[in-house]
Amino acid sequence: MSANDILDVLNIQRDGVNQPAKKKLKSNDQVAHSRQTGMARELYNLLGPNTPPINLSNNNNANSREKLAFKPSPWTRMPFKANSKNAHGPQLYHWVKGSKEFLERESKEKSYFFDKYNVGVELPELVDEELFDKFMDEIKEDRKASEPKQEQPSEEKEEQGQNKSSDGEKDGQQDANGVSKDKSETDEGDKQQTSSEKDNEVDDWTYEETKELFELCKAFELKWHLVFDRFRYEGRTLEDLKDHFYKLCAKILEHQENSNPSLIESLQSYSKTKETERKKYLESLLKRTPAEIAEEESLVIEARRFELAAKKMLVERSHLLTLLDSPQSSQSVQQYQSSQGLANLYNNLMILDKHQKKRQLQQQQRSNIPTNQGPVPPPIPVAASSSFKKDRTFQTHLQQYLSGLLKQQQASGVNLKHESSAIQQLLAKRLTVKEEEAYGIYYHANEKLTPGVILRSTQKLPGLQQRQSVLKSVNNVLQELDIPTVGGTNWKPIMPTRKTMTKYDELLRSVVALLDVKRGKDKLESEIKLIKSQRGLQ
Amino acid sequence: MVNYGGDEVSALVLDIGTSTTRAGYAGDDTPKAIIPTCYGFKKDPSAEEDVSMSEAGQENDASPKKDKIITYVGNNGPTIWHDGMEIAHPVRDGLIEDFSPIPALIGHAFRDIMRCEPKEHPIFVTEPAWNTAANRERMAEIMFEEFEVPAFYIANTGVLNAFAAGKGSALVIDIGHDTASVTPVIDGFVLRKGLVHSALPQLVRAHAHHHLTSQNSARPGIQLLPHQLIASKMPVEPAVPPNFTLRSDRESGTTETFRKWYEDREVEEWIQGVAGVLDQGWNEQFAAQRGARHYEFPTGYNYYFGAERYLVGEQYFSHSPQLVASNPNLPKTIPNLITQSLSACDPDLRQVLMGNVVLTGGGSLFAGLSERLSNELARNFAHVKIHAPGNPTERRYGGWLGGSILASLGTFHQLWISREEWQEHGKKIVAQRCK
Repeated sequence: MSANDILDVLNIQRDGVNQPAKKKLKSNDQVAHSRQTGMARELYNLLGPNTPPINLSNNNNANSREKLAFKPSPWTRMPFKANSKNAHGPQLYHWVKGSKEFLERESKEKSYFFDKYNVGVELPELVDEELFDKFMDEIKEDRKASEPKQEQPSEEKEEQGQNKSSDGEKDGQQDANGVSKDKSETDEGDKQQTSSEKDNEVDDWTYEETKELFELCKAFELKWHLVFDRFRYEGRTLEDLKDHFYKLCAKILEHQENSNPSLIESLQSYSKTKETERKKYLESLLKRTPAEIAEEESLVIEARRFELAAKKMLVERSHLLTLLDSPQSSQSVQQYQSSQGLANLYNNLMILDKHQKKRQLQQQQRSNIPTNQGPVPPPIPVAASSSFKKDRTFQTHLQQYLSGLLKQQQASGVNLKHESSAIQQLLAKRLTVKEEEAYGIYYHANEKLTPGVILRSTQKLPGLQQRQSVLKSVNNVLQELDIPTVGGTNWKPIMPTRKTMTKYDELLRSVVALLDVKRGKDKLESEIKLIKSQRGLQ
Repeated sequence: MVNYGGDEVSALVLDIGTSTTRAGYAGDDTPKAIIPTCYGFKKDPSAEEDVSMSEAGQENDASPKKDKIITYVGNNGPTIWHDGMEIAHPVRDGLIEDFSPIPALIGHAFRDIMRCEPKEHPIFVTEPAWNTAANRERMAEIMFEEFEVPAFYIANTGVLNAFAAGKGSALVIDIGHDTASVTPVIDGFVLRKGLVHSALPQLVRAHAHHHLTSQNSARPGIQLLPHQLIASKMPVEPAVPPNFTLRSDRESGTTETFRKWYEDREVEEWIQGVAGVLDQGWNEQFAAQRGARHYEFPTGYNYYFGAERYLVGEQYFSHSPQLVASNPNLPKTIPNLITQSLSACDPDLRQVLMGNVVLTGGGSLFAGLSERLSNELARNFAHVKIHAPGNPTERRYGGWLGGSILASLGTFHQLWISREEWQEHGKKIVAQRCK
């Protein structure tokens, strides 16, 4: 691409006569090129004056030229040494991308790619024999010094651990008492052994043994299971090896200058007894038969189920507690306005009653009062109506009695007469006004009652026997006053208790009366106005 | 090169097993050369014949000094009948017992089959986990002195089988031709204390041999004649006595070892083709329900084997009481081997090992074996996971495959024992480097 091409692309005109001619020539060329690409002429013409793909055709040319000039990148079979630390390592050959000269230059600076992964652990070197003996004496002294102090708690701990493990065993295998006994016996034996061995155990480590231990630790990079597997001297446990190695390493590091104190501390914190204890416990865990495991699992599941049940019960209880306070004035009453809602409410209350009844039954049983004494009505507490809450319990006394009665009736219709007489007895009793109120007893003195059971909510209020237009204006007034109604033609209060019903009725009547008065007043006023205007007073 | 940590140095991998010897390039997924480990040999009546025999390229001189013996190795070695040819097994119990044919075997695999010169390649050799130090040193000696390899390494098959399954820690159950072994592998090393093996497959084969050749109520005893000795045969109906003629000219030249080798082979083939094991313990009814399987012997005798074929597999899992009574030194069954191996391991490791059980070896291809094994193990251990490659090649040549993987890793190359080191340090370098 020449400078002219760039100028063309950027639409920069250059002064001079022969420039445009050149340009034309070039563009012709390009058209010819692009035709060669196989695009139909018609289609190419459709492209219109839009930027001709100068770059594209040029690039095509360049690509093919590049292809012709392409040289496969060289691969060279290079010798290399895999381990830079081992001068005698084998000369291996592998294929590497790049020319021989380049790679030869590079290989002098760079080591083998995977050589960086050839790392071992850093371990303290084992000291010579004299120093080793000195360290061993020190370790021994350390142990002796710490023994009087540590003996007591460590033994206690051991005992605790034993108790725990034996407890676990008892849980796991209740019937295999013999086994756990054996186990604890051997444990005790072990303990005695360890305590007696504690003194001379340290001396047991010879320099040769220790040397091998250190070599193995280095060779297997502190993979203890392998170190233990390859350790040739008999009578050592894995814990012995670890204990000895850590103790000695701590000593060696202490002896050195500029050692890491936290490392030494962590080395010294290894506890052989704890470790053996843990392993013993693990072994007893692994020795369980599948039946025992299954039993344990089922126990765990059962425990979890109990937990869940307890939680559920708490939730249910809280639900019941909220029910106890219901219907709350703060809650919407709407759900109780339909007959279904009412039925729900009734059911809820019944469930609540049953609960309380059960509780009371239990209480009664506890106080040795026979429950089925016959059809004697429950005594009405003296302080029955002293407070709302007590009222409620008092009510439920009666309800409970009645529901009990119903059950008995279902069971046998024989006692029916006695029962009804009991209610009569109850009714015949003189009740105070408050008691009547509490029981919800109401005497329909001179009211016409329709036969059968009716819901108060479906009852038509006498105040509503008005004309439609009057009702409309009554509705307006009620809305203005923010008095809740169900709406529709069938007005009633949201909570149709007897009291509210009467109050509502009263309200309606007074509203109607008020409206009448207002209408009369308006009428009179307009008449006065008319007469005044007729007489020309104004 | 950096991908997957691989770095090809065109190493050769050699895996000498009891039945077959496998050789191939590191980085491949299957061995290039698979030849029988057993070999034929006979005393050479004259030196001249030796020259004429060598034209086939299947036979090699064991050594030029003992020119009286011709050996026949390779796929066309022991299988081709020769007058007076004896068959010998250099490997017993997984260990190489007789090193004399080993160079011939190796040379045949590398030079005649793979057509490559061992002198130019590092060689990676496998060994059983219970190999002796003397054995591996001898192997290194053969490689360095006779084949003049530039680098050598020997690793054990337990670890390699674990690597082939992609695991660093595993309990490798390897059922081979002659030996069944259980090897606990932790972090790429064998726990020697937990290593157990038994000659169980031999017992199974002996039992099957006895079962086939002895007469029972349904059929007569079966003649296990080598097909090399049969001149012609007529097709017969199942369970009808065979109709065949023997090659009488060969009968006198057939040695006892050849017959024995052939019978062993035939029984093995019968086991692999017909026998199976029930996945839920022995139950005569279930065995009868499974249906019979057809097998034809070289004599032309053919038979539908019913429930009896499932009796064979039971031997892997339990020995019948009368067998135990008759022979107190029976090889241990596989479940026994596993429990013995596990009890020798640290309790910390048992969970790891049982979660990584690798089932491998040609003998494990036995129908229904892996299902049965997983059932047996699930009965005694929680959280058992068995890795059994479905691909028969991977199962049979797991050791070779692990070696192929290991020898093609870039991080491995620092472990090779070089020729220089061998010359400098001698035999002890092998134990130092190959842990």
